[in-house]
Amino acid sequence: MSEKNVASESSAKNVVLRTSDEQEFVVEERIAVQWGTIKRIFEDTFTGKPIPLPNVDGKTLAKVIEYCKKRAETEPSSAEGEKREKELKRWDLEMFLDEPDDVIFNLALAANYLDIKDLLDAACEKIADTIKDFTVEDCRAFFGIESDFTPREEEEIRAEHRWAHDLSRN
Amino acid sequence: MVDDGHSMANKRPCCFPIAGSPQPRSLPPSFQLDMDFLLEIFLELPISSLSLDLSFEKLLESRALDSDQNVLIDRALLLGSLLLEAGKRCARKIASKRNSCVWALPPDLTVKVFSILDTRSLCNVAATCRMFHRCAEDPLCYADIDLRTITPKVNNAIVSTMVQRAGQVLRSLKLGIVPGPSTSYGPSQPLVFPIHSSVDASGFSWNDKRSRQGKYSSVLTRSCLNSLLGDNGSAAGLLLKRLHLHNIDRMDNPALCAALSACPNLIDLEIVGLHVELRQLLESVSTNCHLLERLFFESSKAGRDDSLKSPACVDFINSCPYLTSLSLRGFKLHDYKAGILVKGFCKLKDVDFSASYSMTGAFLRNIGNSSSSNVLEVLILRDCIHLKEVEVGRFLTAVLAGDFKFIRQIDISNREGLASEDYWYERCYNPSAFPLKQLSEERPDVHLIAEFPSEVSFLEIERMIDSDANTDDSLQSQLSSHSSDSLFVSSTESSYNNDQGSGDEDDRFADHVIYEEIL
Repeated sequence: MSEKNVASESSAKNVVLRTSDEQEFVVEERIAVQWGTIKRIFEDTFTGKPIPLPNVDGKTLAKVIEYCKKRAETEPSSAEGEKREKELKRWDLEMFLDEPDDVIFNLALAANYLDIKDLLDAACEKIADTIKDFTVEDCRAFFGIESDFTPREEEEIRAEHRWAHDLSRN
Repeated sequence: MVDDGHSMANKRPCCFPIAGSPQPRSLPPSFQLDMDFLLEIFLELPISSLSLDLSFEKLLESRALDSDQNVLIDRALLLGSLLLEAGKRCARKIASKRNSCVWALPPDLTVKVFSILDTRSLCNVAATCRMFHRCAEDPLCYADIDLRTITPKVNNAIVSTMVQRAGQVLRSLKLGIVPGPSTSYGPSQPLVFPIHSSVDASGFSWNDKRSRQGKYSSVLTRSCLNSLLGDNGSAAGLLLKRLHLHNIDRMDNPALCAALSACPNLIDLEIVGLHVELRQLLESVSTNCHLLERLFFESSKAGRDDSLKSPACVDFINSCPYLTSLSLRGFKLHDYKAGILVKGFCKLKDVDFSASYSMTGAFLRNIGNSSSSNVLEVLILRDCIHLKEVEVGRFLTAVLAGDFKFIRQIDISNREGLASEDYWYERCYNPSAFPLKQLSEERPDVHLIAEFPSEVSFLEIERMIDSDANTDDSLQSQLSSHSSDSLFVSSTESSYNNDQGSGDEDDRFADHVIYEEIL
């Protein structure tokens, strides 16, 4: 059975992860231990059996693994310090360019749960990038949000943020 | 319709305070149940304003007294508005619930996303719904406050609200009026004097009294930075690293100095177009901001600020040893003071004294021997009216001789050309004064920018043979396509004046000769 093979492999260099929808993924240990949550499991309670991840579904985990693999491949870079930060940021944004928004959100949630800082930062950057330059109406329409302010609150907020609203109308 | 055996006629006397009766009856415990029941029935009535009107009119007519009728009308209005409010309140509750279902991220991640946003976008999201508004109040969202606008829109209250929200998280504050995105500050742009006038291009006057009247003030006054001060030792300015203030007309010396006194950890200070004196600013910086690494100060007085004295320079260099970037643009800056400054900061890499009056460039001679000459990377002396050609020549010779090992950019462009040796009003723009060819051979890493007006029309291109230069200089594309390290001298008169479609060249290039040494 492939599961038995997988179990014996996990003692070598791989880890098996089981998602909320019962899918199993084999991941190289060196990649998986970079994830805070997995690392803690390794240090505490790892038994060699597949690690359950009830908060992540298969589709999202696949993307997480894809991201981490790609990142690992591009790690060595000639640039350094701030330049490298910018390079990586740009690379991240490109990677997420064509992904629909709900995928990005799921990635953010998964990265938060798995404690993968780089992916979390990248996903949040992408979401922020989407929100940037939205007017109030744009934002509501895009996310399907409705205003739930009382009339008095509405007035206060209008005054407080007036400078921003006017700008966006220009 | 629910029929529970009670008829309306039976219920009414004991369950409702009768309109017009002298004393309200005490309400039985089943009142609320009755209310629920009646409300349900009422809401299920087929809605037609006609039938409602008819019933109400009939009810009114059944009351003989005017006063009774008025009471009924008042009650109808009251109940109507109560029902309206209840409906709206519940609609809001449902909207809130729906919003929290639709938005996938928990509050801490939402705050994380919001903290990446620029201040304007943050304000827009905050105005969408309560959930976002709450998240947008988190201090983390205000670490970097950018309230710069193109026309005056921000007032003191907005600044202080945000600064107070940030508290100790505040790291960067940018405030004031800046030109639109089509123009930019930056060392490569020539200074346009005055930086701002009292009436800008759009006809809006920053001194417009009208903006002070009316309900909403959109003016920043001298107190706009008061929130940095705070009262109790946990002042917001304490950990502030960056402060950029642009064209705040009503800012003055005392207010600015008071603000600086609250910012001991300031690293980057940028002041443009404020009516603040150089000497006072430097004194305040020397007293308070010992960690300063970048000072960018552009005068609002076009060379008339002559306040700087040597002792203040000495004090400055002693108080701020970490300074790496110094820009003092548009001041009266004599050579010996410039020399004190450039020699005195041992970490100084970027120097910009553009639009300085009285500076001849003699100070460049003295710094050649000091340790600072081996740190300097960028030297910008654009549009310094008294800058002498000979001094520039001497400087370039020193560079060739091995001084200034790390210099990589020198900008001596001047709309009027350089000053001649004897009479500053005689202008020179002859490239042969400079050892350009030698420079490109021996110090190819140095980028020399020298844009001067052209009198004569000549075209001469000298090539260096080394074909992997890639410069993104836009002028390169104006000439025939060389893709080499090229030293070239070009007159633009023939190629630019007649060329209407010169792409993104400004008018100022229209009659300029450009000397470029390109890596």
